[in-house]
Amino acid sequence: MFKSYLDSRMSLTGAQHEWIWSNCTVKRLRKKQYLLQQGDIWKSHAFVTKGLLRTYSIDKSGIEYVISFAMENWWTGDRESLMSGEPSRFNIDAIEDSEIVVIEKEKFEIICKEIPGFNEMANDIIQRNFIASQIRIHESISSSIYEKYQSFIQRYPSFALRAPQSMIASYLGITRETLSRVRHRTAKKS
Amino acid sequence: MDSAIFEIFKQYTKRYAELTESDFEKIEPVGIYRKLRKGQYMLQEGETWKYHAFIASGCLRTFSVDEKGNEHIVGFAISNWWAGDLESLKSNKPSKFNIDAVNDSEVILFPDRAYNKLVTELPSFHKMVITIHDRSFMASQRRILSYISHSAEEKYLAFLEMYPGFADIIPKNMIASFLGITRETLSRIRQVRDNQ
Repeated sequence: MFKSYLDSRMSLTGAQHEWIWSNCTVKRLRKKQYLLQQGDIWKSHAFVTKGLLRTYSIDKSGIEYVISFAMENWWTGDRESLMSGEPSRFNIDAIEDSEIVVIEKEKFEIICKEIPGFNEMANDIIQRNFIASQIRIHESISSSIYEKYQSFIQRYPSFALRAPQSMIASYLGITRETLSRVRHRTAKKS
Repeated sequence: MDSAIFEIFKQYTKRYAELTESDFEKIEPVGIYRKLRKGQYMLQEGETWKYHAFIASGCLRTFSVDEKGNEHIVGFAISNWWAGDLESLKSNKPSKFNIDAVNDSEVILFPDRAYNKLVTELPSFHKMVITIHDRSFMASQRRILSYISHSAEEKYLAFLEMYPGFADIIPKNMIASFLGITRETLSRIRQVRDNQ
């Protein structure tokens, strides 16, 4: 799956594929297992080949805040910890049994240097992530809760189906009860 | 270009990369110098954005206007920041946003094509751009977390911490819009803080 993802983004020779693959490790997580725990330093790039993960923080009173989800063909990790070398403020765990291709930071950088197409892909991902988060910021200040939910199910239909309601509510920054109400209203309308 | 303005840009780059004089000689002719008076637009909704804009002085804001005429501010940029609509730039689609000057401002516009050429030709420039993109993304992640996890008061405190200097420059109604809270709530929070 990682191979076909790369093929969709750049043209690689068989040898290049093998070389990239030799720099990867595969990690399997069962549901609820952690990829990253708060306080650890994140030092890799992680590509999801199977399953669903979430990135979240926990406040002093134990409430979880879901900042993002990632599924097949998505990248995950904590960019901030990766770049700063500081302990992460986030946890990443598996919502479903998952499989992740992990590339250590140094190896990732070497690949970027050696293969310009790979480097372009890496830059493109950063920019797309930025655009996605700008859209989310704009929605969080300008949209009603109902509109936010509509936009979420339109943009991320798989997340809406696969993630538990409590996590979706947390992602949208609303209570579980409000989400139920919004879902009810959405169902009635359609 | 006004050399004093370009000097601000030169100083700025030192935070992220070591660009040589010959690099700057390639960069300078690409930049377009623009002066914006307070209230003047750099980008208007419906236009396609084609630049990378570096703010040398002043303050710009990026905002959308909904059907009811309410303004929603997604970002501010002061000196040594970048502004623009990356979504419109990358997708080549009309922007949903407006960018105007909160105060008299001076900006350097780098047209996208020339900018990308610099990225390809100058490794140090490339390094700087990646770092900036990374930092922008991290800042927006932090802001998202603030939206979903903070009370109105915590949002304001996080704003003061993340954007030092902004609160003195930017009118209160704009800060309230940026935080997604009402003007009244912001006044209340500020009053409580002042009394403490």
